[in-house]
Amino acid sequence: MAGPQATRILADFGAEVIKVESHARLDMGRTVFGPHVGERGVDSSGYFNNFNRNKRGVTLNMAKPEGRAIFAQLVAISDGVLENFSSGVMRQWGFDYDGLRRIRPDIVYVSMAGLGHSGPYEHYQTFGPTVQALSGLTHQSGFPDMQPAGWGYSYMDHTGGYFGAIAMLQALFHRRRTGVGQYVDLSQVEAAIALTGTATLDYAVNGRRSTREGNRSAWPPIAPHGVYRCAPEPTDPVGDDDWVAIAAETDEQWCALAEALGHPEWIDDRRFATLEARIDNQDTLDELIGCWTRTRTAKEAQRTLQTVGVPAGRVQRSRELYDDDPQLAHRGTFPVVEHPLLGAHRIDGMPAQLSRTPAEFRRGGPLLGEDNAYVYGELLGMGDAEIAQLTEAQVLW
Amino acid sequence: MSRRALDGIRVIELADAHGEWCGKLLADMGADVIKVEPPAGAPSRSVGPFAGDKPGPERSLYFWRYNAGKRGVTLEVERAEDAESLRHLIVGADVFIETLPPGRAAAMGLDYATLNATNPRLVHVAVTPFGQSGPYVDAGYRTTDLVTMALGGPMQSCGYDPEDGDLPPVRPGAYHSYHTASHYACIATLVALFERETSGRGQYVDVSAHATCAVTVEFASLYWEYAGAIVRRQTGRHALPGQTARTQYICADGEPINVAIPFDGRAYQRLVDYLRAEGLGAGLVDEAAYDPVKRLETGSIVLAGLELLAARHTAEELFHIGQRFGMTWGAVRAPEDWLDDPHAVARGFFVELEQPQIGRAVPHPGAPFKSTATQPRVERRAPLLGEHNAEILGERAGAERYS
Repeated sequence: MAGPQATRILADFGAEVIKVESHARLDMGRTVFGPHVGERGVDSSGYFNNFNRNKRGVTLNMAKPEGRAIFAQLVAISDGVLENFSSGVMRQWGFDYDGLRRIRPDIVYVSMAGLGHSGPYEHYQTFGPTVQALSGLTHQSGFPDMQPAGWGYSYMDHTGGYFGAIAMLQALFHRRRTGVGQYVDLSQVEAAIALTGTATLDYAVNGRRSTREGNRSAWPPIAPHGVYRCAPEPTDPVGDDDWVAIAAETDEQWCALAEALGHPEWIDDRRFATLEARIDNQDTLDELIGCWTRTRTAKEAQRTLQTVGVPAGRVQRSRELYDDDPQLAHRGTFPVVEHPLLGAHRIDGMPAQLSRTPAEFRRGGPLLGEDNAYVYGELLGMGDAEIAQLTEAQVLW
Repeated sequence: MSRRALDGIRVIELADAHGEWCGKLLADMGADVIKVEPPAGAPSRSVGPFAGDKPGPERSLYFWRYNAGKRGVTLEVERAEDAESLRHLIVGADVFIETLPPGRAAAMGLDYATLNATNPRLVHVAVTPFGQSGPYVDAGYRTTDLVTMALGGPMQSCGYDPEDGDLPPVRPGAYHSYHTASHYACIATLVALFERETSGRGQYVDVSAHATCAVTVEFASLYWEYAGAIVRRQTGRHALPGQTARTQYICADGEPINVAIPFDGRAYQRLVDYLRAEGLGAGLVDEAAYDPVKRLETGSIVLAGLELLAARHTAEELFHIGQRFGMTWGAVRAPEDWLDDPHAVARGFFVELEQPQIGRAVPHPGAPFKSTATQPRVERRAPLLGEHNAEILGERAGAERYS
């Protein structure tokens, strides 16, 4: 899904993105992943709607030579091609970079294979959790005395997509300034290794192996720094799974926290008087703070502590992100798009707000083949009879 | 040296951790990024670990990592003369990245309206915890990476199965709210620069770290929006409304591996065949497991075979074995395992930068993509405190003398 995430950003900023799919090999984003509305079908996926809004969708059977010839016509009228097939798939169709630039010399081609297009693991296959496991992101997440918790979702499908958008944009910028296209080989695993903070430097310089630290913070050193259980929301509880994150970064914040918790005597307590002491006594500190949070809802704890200047935030579920976060609502973080079958739904919007050319949300994800008439008819100039014949022959399929 | 996409683009960075990574990505793509620090140094110079575990403004590996590729200048922006130097730098730049608290830029005369009046081509990128306005901004909300990862939603999905312990949601290691804010800031900067080529005009960009995290949570929001369901955390795999079978197993060497079963039907058949050949296929008659949706939701009995398989191999062995027959398996590696990995070496991923603080070159993670016409590269180590004061501030003195 890293590919659709990359092009969704380009589409949000106005690019005409044509998503090429086929009945012959259905996108698992349509069929397998995530929630569907009603009966599970090719056009009922919320996941697909969210990751492909603003895009046009066509069906094209790349297994047929006629299909590949039509793909070449699409390339000829396009500025960029982006894919995240396993290494070798595009080459086998004749659409490696050399093939594409014979069709269109200034094409920008971004390929996002899991481990890139060279090296001994070139042909290895990945999806989000594999990228996270291999890169070290999984290793860094969880409690030190337990197996890693890792990421509970495909962070690298989002973030690989962010790098895909960056790669495409830098190449399009260069093309606009010079007229020269290019090929980008993006390794999602390398992108993920780049996000492991100081781990590789610490090993190279200090010989220290990396670890995971639960919810604590060695760098910067902060204590208390944790996630504490709260009382369930009385009106609409979701089991017993309410938590607040608290981080008192400075002595001033620590004093404010102690007072807010009704224990001003902690300020002079030798166990907590300095940051070093608080770090040494974190277990005790966590227990004491947990006693306070357990009798409050996470929302109350957040409000009480933020009011006195202590960084604190509820561990928000998407229920809260979408329906109970006034700040996200203020920014219009989840705009609504219309999908022909699913109706109006909120999607993940664009958190970077540009003053003159903001992102726009024009439509939901395309039905399978929804834009065949527009793309093959208007853009490629095929007549209705030709489109019908190619559809019948399972080329536009 | 080959060209890079942002050659000739100058960026002034007045940024803390929320924006430093954005500046670094722009520098790798060729921008001349000038980091402006107070005379005592940017706060990130005090974030460890430190070289030789000796703290000091020149020894922070965090600073090295997030500021490699930039030039550095120190200015005391509270002093009128230095404030004027800063303004002069920004007016001569293409991009201004700042992480000032909302309202502060205006108080310093560095608000977009003022800057735009002098330099209409300027792209002004403000990266803050919550954005420039709204109830949490009005209420003076404070944050850290932990708090943004909680409020923004990523942590709802990260943690352990209940049977692994009564444990809280976990903050994934390594500052990902800052990374995510910077990724959107970088994308927005490139969009604005691209658009400027047509319009000749810059613009203002408001990035909220909180909001960037809130759109980076994958399934959790979809289950809420489309099914009214809440996801539950599960060790080493996707949080979903229902419990799924484990996919992270401990291998013979005690190291974990991710061995998710394939969605693709043909790949699934290859796995079944492999397990049978290994004598681990007992009971592999579960026809329901051939439905990819059911496989995802309930796992399958294949997993029992996988658990036994894991016990026979080290994580690295099983990773390569599985990949050879097309499984998307991955050993849970530590980041530093890549330093001498043959794949990373063959692709030249790590780049050696001379670090005078320790008198030797050190490998830094390289550019995250290869680009045939505009290859990004990590060109220089992070600046020493005030290292480029003379050449950068001297530029202006020189220009004034000349005029």
